[in-house]
Amino acid sequence: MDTVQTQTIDPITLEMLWRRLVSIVGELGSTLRRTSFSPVVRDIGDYGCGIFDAQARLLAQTPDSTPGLCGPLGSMLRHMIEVHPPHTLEPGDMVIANDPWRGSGHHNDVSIMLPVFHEGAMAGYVVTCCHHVDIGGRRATTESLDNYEEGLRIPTLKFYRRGEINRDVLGFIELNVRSHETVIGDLAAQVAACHVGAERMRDICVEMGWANLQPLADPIIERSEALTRAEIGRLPMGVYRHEAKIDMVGGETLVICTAVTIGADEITVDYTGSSPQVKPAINCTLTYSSAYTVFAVVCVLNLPIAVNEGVLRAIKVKAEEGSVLNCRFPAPVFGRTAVGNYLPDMVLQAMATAAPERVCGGAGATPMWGQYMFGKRADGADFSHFNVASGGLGARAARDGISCLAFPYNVGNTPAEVIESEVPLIVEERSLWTDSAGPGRFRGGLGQNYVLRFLDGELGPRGDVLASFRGGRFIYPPSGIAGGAASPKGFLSIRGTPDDAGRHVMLRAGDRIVSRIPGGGGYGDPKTRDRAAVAEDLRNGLITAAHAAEAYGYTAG
Amino acid sequence: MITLGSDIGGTFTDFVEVDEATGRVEVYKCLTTPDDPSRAIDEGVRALCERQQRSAAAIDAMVHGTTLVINAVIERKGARTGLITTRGFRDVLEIGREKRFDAYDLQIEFPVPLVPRYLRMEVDERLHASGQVLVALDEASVKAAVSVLVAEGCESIAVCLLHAYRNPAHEQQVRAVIARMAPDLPVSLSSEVLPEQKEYERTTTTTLNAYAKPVASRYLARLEDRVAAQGFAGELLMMLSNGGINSVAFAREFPVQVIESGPAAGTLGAAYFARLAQLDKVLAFDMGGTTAKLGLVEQGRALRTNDFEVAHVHRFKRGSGIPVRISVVDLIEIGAGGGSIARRTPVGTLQVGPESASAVPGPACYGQGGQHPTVSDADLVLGYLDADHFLGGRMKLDRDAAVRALEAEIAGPLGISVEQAAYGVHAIVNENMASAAKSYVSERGENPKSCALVAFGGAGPVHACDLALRLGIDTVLIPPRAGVAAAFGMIVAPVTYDAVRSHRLLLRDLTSALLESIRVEMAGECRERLPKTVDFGAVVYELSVDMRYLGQGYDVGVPLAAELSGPQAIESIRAAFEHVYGRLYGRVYPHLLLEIMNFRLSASVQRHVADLSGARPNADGDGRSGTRQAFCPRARAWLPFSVHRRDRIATGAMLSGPAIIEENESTTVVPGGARATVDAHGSLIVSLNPQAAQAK
Repeated sequence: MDTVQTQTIDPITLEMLWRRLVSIVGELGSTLRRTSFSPVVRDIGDYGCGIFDAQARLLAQTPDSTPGLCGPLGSMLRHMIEVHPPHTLEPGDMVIANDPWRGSGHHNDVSIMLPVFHEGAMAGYVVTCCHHVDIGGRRATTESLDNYEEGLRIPTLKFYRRGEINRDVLGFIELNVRSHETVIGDLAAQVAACHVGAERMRDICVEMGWANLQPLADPIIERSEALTRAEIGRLPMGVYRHEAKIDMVGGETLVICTAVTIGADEITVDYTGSSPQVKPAINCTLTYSSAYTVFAVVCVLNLPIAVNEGVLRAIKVKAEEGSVLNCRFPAPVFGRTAVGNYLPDMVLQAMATAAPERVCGGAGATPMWGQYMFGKRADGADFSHFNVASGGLGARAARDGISCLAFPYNVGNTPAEVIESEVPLIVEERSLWTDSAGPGRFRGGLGQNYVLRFLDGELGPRGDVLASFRGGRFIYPPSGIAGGAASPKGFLSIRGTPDDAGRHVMLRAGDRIVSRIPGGGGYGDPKTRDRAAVAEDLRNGLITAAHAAEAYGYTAG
Repeated sequence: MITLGSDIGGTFTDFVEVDEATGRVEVYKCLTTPDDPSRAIDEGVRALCERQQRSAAAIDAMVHGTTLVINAVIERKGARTGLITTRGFRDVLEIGREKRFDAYDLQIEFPVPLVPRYLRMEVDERLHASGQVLVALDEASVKAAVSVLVAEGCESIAVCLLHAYRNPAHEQQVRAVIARMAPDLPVSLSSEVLPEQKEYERTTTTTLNAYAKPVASRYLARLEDRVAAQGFAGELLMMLSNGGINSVAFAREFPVQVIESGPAAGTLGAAYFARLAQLDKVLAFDMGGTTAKLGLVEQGRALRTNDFEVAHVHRFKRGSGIPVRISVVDLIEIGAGGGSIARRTPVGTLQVGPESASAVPGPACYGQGGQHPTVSDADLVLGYLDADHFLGGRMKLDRDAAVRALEAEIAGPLGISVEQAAYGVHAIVNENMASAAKSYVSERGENPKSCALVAFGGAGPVHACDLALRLGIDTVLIPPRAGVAAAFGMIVAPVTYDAVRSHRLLLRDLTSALLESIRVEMAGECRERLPKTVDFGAVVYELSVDMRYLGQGYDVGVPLAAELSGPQAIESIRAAFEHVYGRLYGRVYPHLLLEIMNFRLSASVQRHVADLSGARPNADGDGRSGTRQAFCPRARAWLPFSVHRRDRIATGAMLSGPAIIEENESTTVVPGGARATVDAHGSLIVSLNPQAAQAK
């Protein structure tokens, strides 16, 4: 146990240092992003960084990176120091791990932790986690039968010992992953980012004459907890339920039962009753489910502070062991976003009656629609490609949704001109999908038509292209809220044949892939939509006259 | 040679006139006339001419900066604009990058596109990324699109076809069709406005250019008429966002290039005095009423970036604006100014900014009904500002109102004294700026400790020394006439043009013949775009490439030595890249392949700048006018500060802190232990650690 420190901190110093902690994680994130070799990290933000006090309590985390990677940093750190207790850690040590049940739910996400020492004693921890382009095993697919098929399982080991890299660990990784140079490069970027964080944390200790960050951590956590609990207290107490079916690979259906209990000063989200874990690799570990659930609750609370341990204390998440949201080892988990991405939608729908002005309609972007492709160009050069195309955000209580916007993940698209200069295809269309917004007093954002065609001859691919498409809402479309209507279902076709997502497919020159990604759900009765707004949508060709008449009861003139 | 710089700001239009023959500097300020900004120019030119009893015919060159374009975009007062684009891509403007700039905000909003969907037309054509034509342009589809846009009353057309940065032929063909159908309609081609890969950013930049073109054109014509009417027959030049200047004809064709000219010029003006004082690496710091801006200047050249946004939905949130990928002076903007409001946060701490009390109602001490305590209120209570001599005595400040606001909203609720609250506000706003500056400087591979801080703007000199101490900076310079730094910057700015070519290839595939042909092509474009009056023999060309390790996502701008050619040039590129990359990221990867994204050629001609006289006719000794109690941030105590009038301090006189140096536009706070002098050019130079400096 650390010695109890009695220093108190005045509100001005507290503000300055608190802000500095937030900017430290910003710097950590930008170091990682800028030195990374993989598009998943640099363009897609598929990483998370956090700084923790000596008691492993979260002080700040990167605000704009993927919730699924940020959320589990704390549970991963606690696991790491269970395996390597603080007294066994020395300055310059770094711990590596990728256990999906401790961290962010699949092997590609590798966490690296650096204990921060100041004057020989533990002052805190820096943890970074990032999605690596490859981790061995099957390539991006939901067809794995168990966790062992999903690539390298890295035991929780010391990656560095007293500043020296552990070559045994490095060697194992190098031999077991594809594109190992990229993977090793990204691990190095994580290491560099950890060091930046540690240095900045030590700077604060030096400046303030502190042995560790406790004098700062305590008031931050206490005040954040009090604020979060007070904000929860403003919501009407009660149990708010929502049950929804979501489609998974092969036309099958899952049920997600959500019960949000708003207490006097605490929110519990309980998924009891949800489907058992499934065969396809779309199962979520509890740490991953929790991450997306907490994210949604924080969005609803709309707190004026960044997430830290104090905020997290007021939010609890439960799911039955063996369910699809709390799967048991060795369940396959690679494509967990196919289920986990739905959780914010579930929480928002459940809370709609409790906090109608704070939620939004179903997100057309959920689950993530991604295209993975591996192959050779005619000149013999390899290409590997990943793009994300998003549907529309759901409508809000007082405004329309936003068209084509990532949610709840936060991954931007790749410009068509960039795609076409790397991959032997052309993007035939990337446009707003007419009539794809869920009607309502406020309508959802529109979804998109995204059409790809592999070129022929010199500009086309050489031989087969291995591809895998992610997406969903093929059976159950995004729903409306408060009387708003649903948007249309998603649609995917490969070579003219409708398909669903998740499988490996072989593509060749001339093949065409059409994705229609839904818009967001509507909010409120469409018949009460401002007629001028309907007319404007008509003029802009966002809706057809038939849709205007049918959904909104609108006739021109 | 007489040069007149004029800068139209939000409130004031500033003028600086320099006579090269005598070194004489004239300054004039008048209210901006938002309905027709050229009226203020007319007034200023007339006033300066009358003052010297001659006509505008005596002026050889005028350099002008304006907020006209940015205002047209922010206020949505630009032209009714149509867009012509490739089939399948009319929604590029609306789809954008599909990313949330604030992950937790469910009420998120984005800027409304400048061109509504019903004015965005698709034509049949297709280029490949290599520039190869996949589908020839169908002129019938262009005619159909143009007819609709003309019928809809469009006043300007933007053309942005996929991969036009690589092959402009189809865009040029579209322009020819428009010229036949509607010869007077202004057209902006993406292949001319911004020949760079990435369709969203190229389209936003091109549409913004089209949107501003008619407005800029009308304004520039009025401006030319007005100055001509006063007898001006010299050259009229425009200040650009990249820190250079170019002709009116250029600005008329590419108004997007003048979008951020004021801050660019201010930075250059400040840096000019630093160079005169032999300070080569400078952090320029401009703090006004609402925001503070910071930017690095090395060897008199401001750092530039192509990563720029305008018309933000949330002023300080990156990603919430419209991207404009032109070359701009690289500045960070922080919500920290004299009007920044201080408040108690829900977690019981003190927050300053980014909200501002603006000019109306302004800080509580302005006595215009402002109830919230601001940075200026804190500065007054701490003794830095003089209630009776603010703005040269034109405005009386109400200290009691400042105390009341601080007491009611900060000191009372937080349980601290008013003095503590005032110091807290001052310290937090400085800390906010320091932390933003630290990450800005370090992301550019520099260390703030090796820079001098050059402060200007109304609040800059008040906060400069404390900010410098927080950054570990030893030398602070306050240029003379800091209130008109931007207008001054226009006089010292070089004539420039920046050419760019997106050409993606592996470094190992780059041949010296290809490099040479790209360089020659860009140099030709530079010569075409520079003002015709330029001495082409004196043009300096700087070639650089944007490159990255194959697989990485961020480009690094790598300057290449101009004299290099042939195989050595290619050889040297890798070393040049590693030098820059290593400085930014601390390591290099010798075995990895390098990829080139863009080639850039920057042409500039330094105009001759006169030796400036720092003459202050009233100067005598240390210019001391009295003593007042003020709070010393360094000593954390109230101390007697000696008070000096800046215009009375003789060149070379040495003052010791704690001291307050007053001038009409601002006040410089010199902490205890520091020393200040005025150099031969009129700059006030503060040395924060004189002993340490001497020991060096």
